[in-house]
Amino acid sequence: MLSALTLNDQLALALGIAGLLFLLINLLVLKRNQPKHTPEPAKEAVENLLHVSSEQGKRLVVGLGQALTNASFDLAGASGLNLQRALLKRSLFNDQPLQSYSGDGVLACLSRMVVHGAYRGALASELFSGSLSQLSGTSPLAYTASLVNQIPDSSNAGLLLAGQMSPVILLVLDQADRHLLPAISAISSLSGQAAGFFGNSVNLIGEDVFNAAGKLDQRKSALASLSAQDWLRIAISIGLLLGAILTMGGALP
Amino acid sequence: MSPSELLTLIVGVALTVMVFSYILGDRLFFGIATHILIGVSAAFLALVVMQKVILPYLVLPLAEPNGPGFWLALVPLALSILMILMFFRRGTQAGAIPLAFLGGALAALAIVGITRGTLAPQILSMLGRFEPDQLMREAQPQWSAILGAVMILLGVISVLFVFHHRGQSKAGEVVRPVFLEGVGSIGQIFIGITFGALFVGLFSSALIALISSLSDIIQFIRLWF
Amino acid sequence: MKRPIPLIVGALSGLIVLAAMFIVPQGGGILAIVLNWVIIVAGAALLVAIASLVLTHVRFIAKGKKGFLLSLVLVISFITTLALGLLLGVDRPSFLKFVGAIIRPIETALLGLVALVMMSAAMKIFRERGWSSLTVSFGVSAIIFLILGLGFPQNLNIPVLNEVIRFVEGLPMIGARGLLIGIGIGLLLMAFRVLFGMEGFGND
Repeated sequence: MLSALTLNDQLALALGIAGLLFLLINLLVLKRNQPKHTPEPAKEAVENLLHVSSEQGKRLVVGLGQALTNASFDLAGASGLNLQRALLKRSLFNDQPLQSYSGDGVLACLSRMVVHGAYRGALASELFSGSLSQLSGTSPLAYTASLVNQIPDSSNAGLLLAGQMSPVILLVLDQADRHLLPAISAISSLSGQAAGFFGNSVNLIGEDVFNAAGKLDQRKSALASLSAQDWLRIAISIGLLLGAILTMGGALP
Repeated sequence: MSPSELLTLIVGVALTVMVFSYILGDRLFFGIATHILIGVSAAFLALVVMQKVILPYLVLPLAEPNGPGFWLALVPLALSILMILMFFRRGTQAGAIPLAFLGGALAALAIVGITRGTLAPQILSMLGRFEPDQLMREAQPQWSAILGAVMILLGVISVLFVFHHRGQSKAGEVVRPVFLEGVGSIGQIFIGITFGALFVGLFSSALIALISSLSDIIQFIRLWF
Repeated sequence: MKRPIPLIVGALSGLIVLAAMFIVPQGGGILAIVLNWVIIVAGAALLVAIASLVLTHVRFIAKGKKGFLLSLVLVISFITTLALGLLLGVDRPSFLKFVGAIIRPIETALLGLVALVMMSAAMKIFRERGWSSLTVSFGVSAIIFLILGLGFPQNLNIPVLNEVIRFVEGLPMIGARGLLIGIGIGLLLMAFRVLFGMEGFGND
């Protein structure tokens, strides 16, 4: 069956199997020794936001993005949920709970479940409210506009943008800048990461977007995933160098 | 200009001016325009989903108990009912099953999509630049092609190592090896170049939108003066 | 503690989709059925989320919460559009014209605002982010691509310059490829964690 696959599909299959193997090996290895990972670039900024939130009794606003199932099925749109979960754990009993906004129906439901799970896990289900996690707009611009409207609220302590967003999100970062609201962006699309860089925010780029939560809450699966990513990166780099030499020699089709 | 065109222009200009009031720090008019956008787009999407998804794929098969799709439509019906239940305070847990179903399917699609649609094509396209007929022409080395291919290869690897996580303990801190730090710095230059090009691309598109909005306003003013 | 049923449902749906994608052509039928279910459930989730959004704003109005006027605007525009859509039909040109007449100018103006915001953001980047290899290469690249975007250097028609321009125009692809592969690696591992129930997804 494999021979019927194109070269692209064979390589895809090899990469998929390698990724899975690396993850499983690292999950097993992690039981014995803790890997040494470099600190999360946004950790200090997140800690500051949480500190300000609890000190001043203000809320953190989390924008979870606008694309998970809206335009196409894109799991990258759910990358903010981990960060939402990690922040919720640390701010559950603040005066003002964390407020999340989604621009996608499924994402809104998942986010609601994350909030519910956090309260249930802390044996405080009675404090859960559906309004803490909401759909706020159904198109990229409607979603952006709704966030722009939320920023000036005096009860906000900080803004975290995490998920799939279009570059128009720059408007939200500008509004946050106007209201001196500290912002962190961890956007999973390339153009969104560029927009996060143009705006005044602590900006995560590349795969750091998917790892921020893992480094924050030090969960076993996330830590194993970080090492697996390193392995996969090294494997791809070696593969590229070897592949280039073999292609030059005409040994690869 | 017909009355309907005039009305469209007046509404459009009014909404445009309301959005542009953001520049002056206004919240009320900007808020009104954007809440109209949120309301209209949500209703429009709800109608489209009802007409293009729920009716043909769920309601119509269920309306025909002897039809071929009846039994298959029962599964999404059950999952959809659980999804509806989750929006009641006591029923939030009910959403766990449909969401887990969606999560599993999305993850599988992502695994295939990333490996087949992103990683493999990117790698193969880079290797394609090293094919002998690209680097040599009439037994002569094509130096610009060779330089380009090597630069892309090493550049991409340097960008990849900007995000390497594993470090070494040094004076109580975990730091990245000096070699990787150096490679990563080169990668950052390439990322900066990409962001610069994206900035110009986005700026050009936004500028076209700005000109379009302003031309609507100018057209409206010309109607009266 | 994660509950077993959602865990099993998630892993099963994912593994079926994965298997169906590789067992061609027999898997095509199963894949179509599962994707059909995904589309329906995602549609239902969207409708439920929209209903929740509107109800929240109705509650704001009922309580007279700060900013309830904007909630009123949202609810009125939602109900009006919904009623017109149900009366006229979603595909009717007159209804599409109505929706377009409202959405188009607002969205175009919002995009136009981005241009204005970008102008001031470009000025602030060095002040906010300092001087680093990332910011300097960003600045130089933005200036070069702005000049190239004007088309002036290309019009000079100097062969060597055209060769240089072609080379420069290819440079952003290097960073983009690296970032895309990096994002792909991160997302691939996240997908595996979701598939095997390590990420929560409906099971928090």
